[in-house]
Amino acid sequence: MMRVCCVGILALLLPVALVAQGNVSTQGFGYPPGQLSTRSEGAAGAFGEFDAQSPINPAAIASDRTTQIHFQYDPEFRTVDVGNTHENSTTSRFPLAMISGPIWGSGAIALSWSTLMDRTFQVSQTSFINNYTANQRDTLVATIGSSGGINDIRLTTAWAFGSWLAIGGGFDLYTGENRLTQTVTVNDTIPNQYSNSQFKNSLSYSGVGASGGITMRPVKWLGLAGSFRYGGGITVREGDSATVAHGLIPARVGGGLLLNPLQGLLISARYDWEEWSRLNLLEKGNLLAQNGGGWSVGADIEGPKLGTNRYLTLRVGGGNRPLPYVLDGTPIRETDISGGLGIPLLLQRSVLDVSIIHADRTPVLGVSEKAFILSVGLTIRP
Amino acid sequence: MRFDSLLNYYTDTVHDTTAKFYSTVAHDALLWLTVNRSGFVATRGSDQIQFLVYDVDTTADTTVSVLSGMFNTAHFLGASGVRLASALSDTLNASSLDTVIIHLDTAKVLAKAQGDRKLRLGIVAYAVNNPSDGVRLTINLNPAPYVRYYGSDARLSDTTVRRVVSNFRSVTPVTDTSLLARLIHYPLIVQGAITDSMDALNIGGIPARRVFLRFALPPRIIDTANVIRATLMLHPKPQPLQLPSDTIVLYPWPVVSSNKVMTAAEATNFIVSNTIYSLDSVQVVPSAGTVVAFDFVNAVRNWQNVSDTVNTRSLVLRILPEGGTPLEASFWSSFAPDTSLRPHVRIQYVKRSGFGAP
Repeated sequence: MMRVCCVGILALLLPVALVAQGNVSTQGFGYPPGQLSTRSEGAAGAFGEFDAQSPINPAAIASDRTTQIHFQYDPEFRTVDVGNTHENSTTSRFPLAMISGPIWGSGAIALSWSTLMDRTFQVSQTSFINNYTANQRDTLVATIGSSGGINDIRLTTAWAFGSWLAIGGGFDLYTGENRLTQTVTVNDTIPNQYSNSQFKNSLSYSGVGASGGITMRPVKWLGLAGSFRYGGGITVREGDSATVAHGLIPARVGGGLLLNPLQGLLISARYDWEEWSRLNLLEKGNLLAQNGGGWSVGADIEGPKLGTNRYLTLRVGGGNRPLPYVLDGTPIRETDISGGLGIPLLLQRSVLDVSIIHADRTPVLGVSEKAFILSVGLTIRP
Repeated sequence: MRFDSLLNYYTDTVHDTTAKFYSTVAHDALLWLTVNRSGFVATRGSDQIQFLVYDVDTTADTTVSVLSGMFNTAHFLGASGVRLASALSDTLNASSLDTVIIHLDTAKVLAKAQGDRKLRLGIVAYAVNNPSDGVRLTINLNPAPYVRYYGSDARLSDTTVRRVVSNFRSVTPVTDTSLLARLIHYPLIVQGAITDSMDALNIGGIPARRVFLRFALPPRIIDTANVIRATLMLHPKPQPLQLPSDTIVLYPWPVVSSNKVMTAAEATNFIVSNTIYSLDSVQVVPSAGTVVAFDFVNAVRNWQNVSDTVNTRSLVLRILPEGGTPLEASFWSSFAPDTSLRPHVRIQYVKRSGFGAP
């Protein structure tokens, strides 16, 4: 019998969650983009309860009963500092697409696809492996990556009762997948000495939920809104296996205030509370999700005139919101400062919205993380 | 070398060229051959090289043990003059040939001509002053070696007697023409061959040998983890009779048979080229004591989750072309008394970690 000596490369995969994910914001099941349209993101989400293109408040679609299609692209440019190490990364996201239109006079219907949680990351670690035949150490790179997330497909209907009240409701289907890879490569000068290692895995999600909301305009210069999300059950499956875990979609309750003190000026404030702790039912590790509320304020200002009846819209806002997970006992929050533009195109039959958010996340374990999130949204009204 | 149709007659070159006269003597019998100087290697340049020729005609003349017993005084036919190794060797001119003439025992050659006409010669090259030194050379086939003698006493006074020249020929075995052709001339290691034993893995040589290796690799690693490197380490049994400058290339060929092929001898025939699994060959110096490492991670990856009922986890170590060189390598087997010298496999692997649900 031949003697077999085996050396496992186990130490490469560090158990510390932070190291495994490579950043602060993408822990656990991922980063919640907020389900906001580019227009709302320009004001740090403050208009979320009133925005017809943000799948937050179902009643909001009744305020804009035109047939429209909206989709957007949100790349995030993230900087992570660990001691003297400075890492830059880019994460591409397509967080929202929506089609909506009028039904039966005062009614509206919408079908939206948005990202509830995005678990996209890639982290690499370089170490050394003993080359026992060459009596040297070769460089080994271990990489763990994930893409995809939990998505919210919502069918929404709303009804406007005059110009002062609208109510709406929606049925949510939660679906999506995390595609995960674990790769180990060795920089080898001799062909066929080493082989790369790659493991693949996937987590798929299926769940349901419902949502409802109301918007009111008691006087012309004041708007009020409130909405909720009832999180139903969600099932997680790993690879081809049977169910791994059952849990609940996090519930959400929020409200907003809209002021229109001057012609061409809108000011809004929003508060949102999310029951992220429901994700703990799905967790296998030691990560802990927390409930929490976030706020934002913002303004939408009618800017310079572009031709006949077309105005450039300027947006600005700021806010603070909780991210789902607690790391090392520290609740992680994100402070946002944002600005944006709305550019009408084709005789107002379409709008190009652009916004930029600076997100500053709570430093923890010596890791500080900042990001710029660029959002480009296009709304077409055929 | 086989000269199985040794001519037993001669002709007149002037008077009647068609008339045959049976040989009554075998004057000046000799073997003529050429040596390729570029392929000549000896341990020392000062070695004095001599060629000895023996009569190895026997019905069992493909059996090494029988043949090796015939390289003795009783079967001695003749010897060449002594040549200096440094003079025979020529590494600069690749096409250079050197003629070697070995005078043969006339009585024995005549007896052969008058008998069954099968002259089968065993040729030895050795260093007269240092018999334990190694000598390696190639006898050229173009021009082909031949045996020549004069069949009449008249040759001494009459130059009209034609010389009798015989070329290569084999007439046995009659049932296998392919083997018959291959037995016209073939190399044979009479002395210095590595002996087969339980504690040795011998590869190459003449006749060529292969090594069959079957691996009992831990399923928990091979089937569930990803192996990133697998190395077979073989400890050599140094061969001092092999020339220090000689190298031999060993090829690990994967076995592609199931465990229904029960014996190693059968399994070594169910092999595919090492390039199929991207396995690299290894160059070995047989006279050295360096540990030889075969990286076979690509074979291991092909064996992942493959049952023995489909494909055994086995390799065959061989040389190319087999039988084309007397060079051979020897390693300690799993029966080596010193366990540290036994073959062993080193595996580096990556275990699948729980990287799914957070």
